[in-house]
Amino acid sequence: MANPNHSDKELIDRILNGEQELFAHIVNRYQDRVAAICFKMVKDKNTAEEVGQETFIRLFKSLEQYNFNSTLSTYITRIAINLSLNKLVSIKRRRNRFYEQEDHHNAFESQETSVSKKMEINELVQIALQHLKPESRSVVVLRMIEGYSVKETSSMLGIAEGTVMSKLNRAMKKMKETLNKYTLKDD
Amino acid sequence: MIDLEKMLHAQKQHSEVFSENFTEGVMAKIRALGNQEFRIISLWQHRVWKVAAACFVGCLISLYALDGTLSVDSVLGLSEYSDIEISQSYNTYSAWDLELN
Repeated sequence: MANPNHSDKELIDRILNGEQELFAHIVNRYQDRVAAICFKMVKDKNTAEEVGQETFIRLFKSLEQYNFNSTLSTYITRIAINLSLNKLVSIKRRRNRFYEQEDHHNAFESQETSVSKKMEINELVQIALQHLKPESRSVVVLRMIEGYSVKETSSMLGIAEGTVMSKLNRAMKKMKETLNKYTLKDD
Repeated sequence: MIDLEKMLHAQKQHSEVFSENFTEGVMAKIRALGNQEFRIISLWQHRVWKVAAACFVGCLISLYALDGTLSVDSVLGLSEYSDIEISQSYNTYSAWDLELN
């Protein structure tokens, strides 16, 4: 049995040599990080968990291709963020297929009015995040919450560093507007 | 005044977690995936052998057919009589008929 303190490389080597069950150590080691990403990207608990599971399955399938150029943590984060974006796109597509634009707008309105006056800061930030477009949200989550550098963020999302900066500026501006709207409403 | 950056940094401390049986769920899916992939591979191996055998037989038949040693007659069990021989025997019978008449 492998020691949970074994390095990622040791664990991956043994998994690739057939000790598939050791992958549970990798899941235990990184599930909190994946959860942090998924819950911030996809608000719904069940969907976030589904994306989390898919992240680890995707990692397992691509272990042979992983070349240790980046840390495993960064590699997993990249998978999680991309799967979250894919999920959000498919949810949006499904929603557009079944609901009229007006209904969608009403859903946002009802969400806004259901906000209690004594809202926690955390909830406020969550709502402001959910108001962003998925790609902008991913930039904010990676750069501002998870603390990755602009370079790392651009590499994870496959976009230019300049694009990261411009998306971040726009997203921060929009979040401030949303937060102002809520805090003014509370007063 | 809203300090958004501070609020966002604070989000890192506030993190939600997956359900208790998350790891079990992932491992169950991975085990199922392994079995499924093994089934697909063995199914394809089985099919590949069949396809390869059919191709081999097809090649042999083509070779014989191109060589002229195989004909529709031989396949139907009439290989003893070629078209020429049959037509010749028909002529012979016709000649006999003429002689008899």
